[in-house]
Amino acid sequence: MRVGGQQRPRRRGGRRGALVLAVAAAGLVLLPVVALLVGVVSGGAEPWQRLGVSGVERQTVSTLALLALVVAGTLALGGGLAWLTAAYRFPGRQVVSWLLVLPLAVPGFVLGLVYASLLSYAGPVQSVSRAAFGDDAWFPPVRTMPVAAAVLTLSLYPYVYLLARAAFRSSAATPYGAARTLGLGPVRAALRVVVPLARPSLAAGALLVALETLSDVATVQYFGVDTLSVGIYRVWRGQFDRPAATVLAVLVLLLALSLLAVERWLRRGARYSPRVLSTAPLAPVRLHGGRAWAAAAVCWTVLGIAVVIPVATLVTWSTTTSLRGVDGSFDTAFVTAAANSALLAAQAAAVVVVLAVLLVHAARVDARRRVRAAVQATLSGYAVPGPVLAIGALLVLAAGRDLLDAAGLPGGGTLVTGSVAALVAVYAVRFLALGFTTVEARLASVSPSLTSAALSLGAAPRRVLRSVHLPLARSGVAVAAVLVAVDAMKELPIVLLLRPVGFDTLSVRVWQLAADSRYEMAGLPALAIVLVAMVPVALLFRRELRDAPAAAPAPVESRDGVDDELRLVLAGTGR
Amino acid sequence: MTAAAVVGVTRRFGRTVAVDDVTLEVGDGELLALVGPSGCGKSTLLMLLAGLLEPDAGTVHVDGRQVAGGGHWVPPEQRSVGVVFQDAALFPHLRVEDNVAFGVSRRGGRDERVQQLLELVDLSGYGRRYPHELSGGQQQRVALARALAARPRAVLFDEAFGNLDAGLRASVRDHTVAALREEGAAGVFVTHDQAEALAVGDRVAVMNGGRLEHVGVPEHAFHAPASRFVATFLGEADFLPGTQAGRQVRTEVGVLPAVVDDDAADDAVDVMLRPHEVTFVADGRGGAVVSAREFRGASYLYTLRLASGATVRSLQPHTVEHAVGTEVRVEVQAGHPVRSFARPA
Repeated sequence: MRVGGQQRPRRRGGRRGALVLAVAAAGLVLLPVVALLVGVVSGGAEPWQRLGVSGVERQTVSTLALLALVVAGTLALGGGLAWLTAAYRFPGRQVVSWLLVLPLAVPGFVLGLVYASLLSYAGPVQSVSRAAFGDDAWFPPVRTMPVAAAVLTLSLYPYVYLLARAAFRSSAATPYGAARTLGLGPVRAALRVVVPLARPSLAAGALLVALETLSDVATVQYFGVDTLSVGIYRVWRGQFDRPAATVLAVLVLLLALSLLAVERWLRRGARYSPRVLSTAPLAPVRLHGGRAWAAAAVCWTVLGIAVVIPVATLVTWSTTTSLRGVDGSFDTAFVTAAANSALLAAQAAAVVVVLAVLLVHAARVDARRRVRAAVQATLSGYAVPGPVLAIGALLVLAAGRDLLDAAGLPGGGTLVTGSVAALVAVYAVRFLALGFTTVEARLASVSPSLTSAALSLGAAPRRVLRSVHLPLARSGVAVAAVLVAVDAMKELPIVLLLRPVGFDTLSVRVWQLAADSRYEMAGLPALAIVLVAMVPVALLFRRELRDAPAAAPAPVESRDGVDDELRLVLAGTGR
Repeated sequence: MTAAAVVGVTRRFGRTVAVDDVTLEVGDGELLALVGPSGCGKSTLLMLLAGLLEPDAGTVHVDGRQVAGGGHWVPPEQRSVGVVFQDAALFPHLRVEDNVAFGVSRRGGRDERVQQLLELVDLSGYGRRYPHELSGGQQQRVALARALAARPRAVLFDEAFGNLDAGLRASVRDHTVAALREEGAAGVFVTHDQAEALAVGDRVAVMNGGRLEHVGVPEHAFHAPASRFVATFLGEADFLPGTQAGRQVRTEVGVLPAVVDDDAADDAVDVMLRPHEVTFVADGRGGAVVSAREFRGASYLYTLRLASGATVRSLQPHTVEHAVGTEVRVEVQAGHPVRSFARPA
């Protein structure tokens, strides 16, 4: 028997490539986290003293309170709307059930900007109130945590809504019917059967919401809420105190990891997912008369507050003031910011898509556990909140500068003062999971046995990539590029913390103008972001249309529309 | 000469041991049926052979070359092992002829080879079609042609006929066996259908709970199974208590020549009786009673309660009609020594 060990090295190269690539990508993703942990340990107690225990305590408490409010709010609003549109028929249900996803296109820092302005002392609401009730009339304070939580709830509930709706539609029909025949009324049947069945999806949605809330540094500041992430921003951008920022970043990271653990625990029953048990969609019950109109009114009210009013306000501001600078001349700052945003987004998308395709490919062709584990590790970037990632990256860059200086090489300084290249790298880490899941979702509708077949027919990995994976994943690659570019346009905390001096993007400009209370000026950049962010929502709509029963199934398409939608939602949100 | 082999192979998924210390080889040109209930690890074993999974322990050999284990790893594309999947796994964006040509080197005679294979699976005119324009049975035959075109030492079939309906299934299977014989490639058929396993394999390997319980020619596996599990998995079987004496077992229905269980600690054994080996006569000198009757079209399956209360089943032609309650005398006509198992403690 010839014993192995004489494989031709030429062919082995492809496999070593897969491992090297996966391990390198995993290292890139984990490096900032490792740097943070090293930083917090080597920093000792001194940064804690600078921060002050009471301050950190206060920020932690308000972070937890905000998380609790927003998670509860989104579960109630998103879950409730999902059940309303899945279980009942009322006028306009079809249209409204799609439109309810639209708030995804209005990021919290834009929605917050609009309401901070509308509800301010000089804003229309208080003006009307004063005109009606006199100058001394009481008006509830606006710069408070409940208002911040309400704004975040309105902009984040679609995560819960989409996941819950997919769960209700795909799994609830038979168990719900069974519960009704066993004598439970609609509400009790929903609470005792549908909610427990949807628990994994609700937990997944709530986790997305919680991580976004944790990352937020802008919305909360409009309303005077002092969270840990706000603390990171202040300590770094205000005092350039890296050790103190590191301490806060580690606290936020620990919070994120605990949230992840809670979600895991809540999902523990997910493997009993009844998706296989039931294929019949839930048959919605028709509502009549007042109830039908009430149901429609609820949906339209949410849409009005979360989408129509903000967009209308932004349009008004844009047309009246935005293009004129302070002195009335054309606002070139907007054009520069838009160009910067586009540049950053395009570069991030390109890097992410190339990496994502290679990683998806590596995971599919290589059966070895090391490769799969490394690929899995690269996806963990999604669980690291933006500000945490930014500070971690900062530490890595500082270490890089020290290395360069020690070696006597130039260029170390630009590493820490910020550079577009560093921003692109951090965005790549942040959005790699988004790109990966999108490309993988496209390939997931292609049976894994296809890859196995190609390999067992003697095709080397490179050929499998060229002749099988790329042709079949092409549309997924395009969608991934779009989604990453859009998310990069919307991104604020990372660019806020890491941007080079004078490098403004659209989101940074919105934030700065809002912080200066120059709300109308922020209209145009904010509107630009909202319009760009509509693209993924439009993609989602297209998919819904395509998967509608009337549409003829294309030969290569996936068989399970609901699953597909879920994947796109997860992908579209970077998870 | 062995075409492919696994030696002491183990593979875990988390805490589950999917394949547990399995050793098995397939000879050149041999057809081996790998059968077992779902979840028994048979598909995992196939993936280990093909190089689509890595073993946790043990070694894998193809054509005398070690391809996995002990620090060796030969990726699937260099193993010369073809796989035919349950879903056919045809490349949806390639025509039938391009699918078949996928594994054939560009040099010399690729088109001829493709035509030859398409003829072999009876699909000569279909080269220009796309996979979705074919029926399920045709897709399976293209998958077979594609696997064979690369001249593999062995072709693995992962429940490859499971998606086809019964009539089509037999014909595709016959096609497959003929094509494999023609090409001289070894074949490993994973299936959970014991009738298919007995019909297709030169040898049958029965797996249960990750372990190999029996390997042998189909007749042997059926008549002298290595374990009670194998006995009941491969066909209907009843176990009747008896006392072992040399090469014979004394039972309620007579003294039967037996293949004795080497593990039997004492004389108390159970003999395996299959319904077709049991007959009865209704001559009034019985001791047994017909307790149930199931109509099976061409035959009746009788359940007979013996004096001791034990039951055996008897398969009779539909012309042998007896009502439930009839007193009968049971006889065993096995035509071979019956298998006896040690009585579980």
